[in-house]
Amino acid sequence: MRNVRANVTLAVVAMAITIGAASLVRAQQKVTGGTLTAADYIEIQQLVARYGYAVDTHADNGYAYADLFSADGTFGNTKGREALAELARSTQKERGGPSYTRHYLTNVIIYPTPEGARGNQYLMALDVSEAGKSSSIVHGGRYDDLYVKTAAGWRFKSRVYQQAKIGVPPPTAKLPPSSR
Amino acid sequence: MKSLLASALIVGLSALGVAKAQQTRTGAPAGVMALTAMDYIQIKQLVNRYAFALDTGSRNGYDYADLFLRDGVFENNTRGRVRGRDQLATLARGDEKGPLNVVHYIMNHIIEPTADGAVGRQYLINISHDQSIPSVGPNPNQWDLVGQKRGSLDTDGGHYEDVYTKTPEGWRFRSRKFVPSKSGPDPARTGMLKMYPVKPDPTDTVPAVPGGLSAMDYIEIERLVASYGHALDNGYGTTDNGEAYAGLYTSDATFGQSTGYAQLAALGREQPQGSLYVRHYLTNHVIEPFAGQAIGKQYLVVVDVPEPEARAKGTPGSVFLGGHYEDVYQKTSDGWRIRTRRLFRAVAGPTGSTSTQPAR
Repeated sequence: MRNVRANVTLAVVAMAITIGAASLVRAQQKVTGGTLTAADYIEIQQLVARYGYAVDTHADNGYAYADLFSADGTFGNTKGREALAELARSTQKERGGPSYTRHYLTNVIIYPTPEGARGNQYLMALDVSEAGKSSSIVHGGRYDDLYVKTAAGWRFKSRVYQQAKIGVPPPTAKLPPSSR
Repeated sequence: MKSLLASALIVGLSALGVAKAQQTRTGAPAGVMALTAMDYIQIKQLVNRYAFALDTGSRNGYDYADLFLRDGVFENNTRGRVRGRDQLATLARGDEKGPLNVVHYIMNHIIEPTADGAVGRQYLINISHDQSIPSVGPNPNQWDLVGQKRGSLDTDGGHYEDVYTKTPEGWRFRSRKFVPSKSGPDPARTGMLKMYPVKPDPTDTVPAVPGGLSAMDYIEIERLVASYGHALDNGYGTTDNGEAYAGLYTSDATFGQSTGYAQLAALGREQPQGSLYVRHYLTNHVIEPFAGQAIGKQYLVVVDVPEPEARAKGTPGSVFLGGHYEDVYQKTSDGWRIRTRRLFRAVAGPTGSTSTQPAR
């Protein structure tokens, strides 16, 4: 009888623990729905920082690039692992390799979204000198990203590159000194 | 009662098991040091200090040398291997060194934890800034100046390969090697660095020391400064950059001769812009806790990249402006904001205008 009561007590305790655990999980899910932890930000920064290497080295026959994306990930209109790997292989086909540097990214900003995270960076695509030739700026622009946390970690869900384009100067662009 | 205790013990043990499993999921695999967000941040800060220490040559080169272990090594294609504090300090000396000298722009910092520390890589491009800039009058239309060439990329570009060690004083370079950019196979190089989960830590949200900065503070200040170009050049992809730009600052903030929201918004609106425009590239962001708030400095290069039509013709972009910013950040109820910001144009060689510790 004493044991039965003890078991009932234990069952109640166990249930309380289970409910507590469940609400903790719910709370964590809610947190990851609208906010990012410091670890999330660092992991997404590290994902973004690998982008240049993946494009420029052509590592793993383009699959190093493809594997930065989720299974259904997109870069512009290119979707899926095979297509992304092919894109990486064919980008700068004649120029690439383990020591080649072309895609310089900075101004990395990351924000939480209900589904995961979004972010942007600037790109400066450079033709870096070989054999004493001068280096030059080939193009530049902005990436617009969505990130998703997969079982393997954070990945690009979608990524769009927008080449830089200046706007139209407003008629008031030249302001009188008094307004400064 | 005995069985209750036994059951409680089992519940307790399985809870431990769950905790251990979570640890494995959220940390690095066995044999690899589990790095926290603060470890990554401090390794990034080490690399960001590198450019300032090398270009300024501050403390006669010893600020540079002290980023390395006592027996640390720097290696490149022109100097070979340089080992030890005094030898490393000589690398950061030269006629061009000075508090406003800005050359080494470092980006794409990747880090992989190892058994006893971490390894990492970054891209480097060296940029030279013209020492004499054509006079443009007291109040130029900024749109008319786009494309004016005032600097150029150096031949030096490539990547660094680092080994980092955590000492009681913080993370240091055990070794750092510069590899010039080169197309084609390179058997000396291995593939990509691996990504591992970052280990959660109490300092993610609570500073380790009173008056210090948590990992989230660093991350938010990094993002504030990384937002600068996005806000100023394209208003985060909108058609009016003024509010976005002024929104980076506290309500009483000062940048140059502009103070307060209205003046800062007007300053932003004077600058060339467009929803797809990019021009202000910032990097090497050094952040330090200071008097309950934070201070920072970072490199700027304003680049006029060729637009699609010009690119199609093979026209290269040009460097418009280079230098560094020195900032004070303040934590407001809306998050971290810039309280004061000053721009120092790049000047090679010694100058008497600032101290060797620009951010203070």
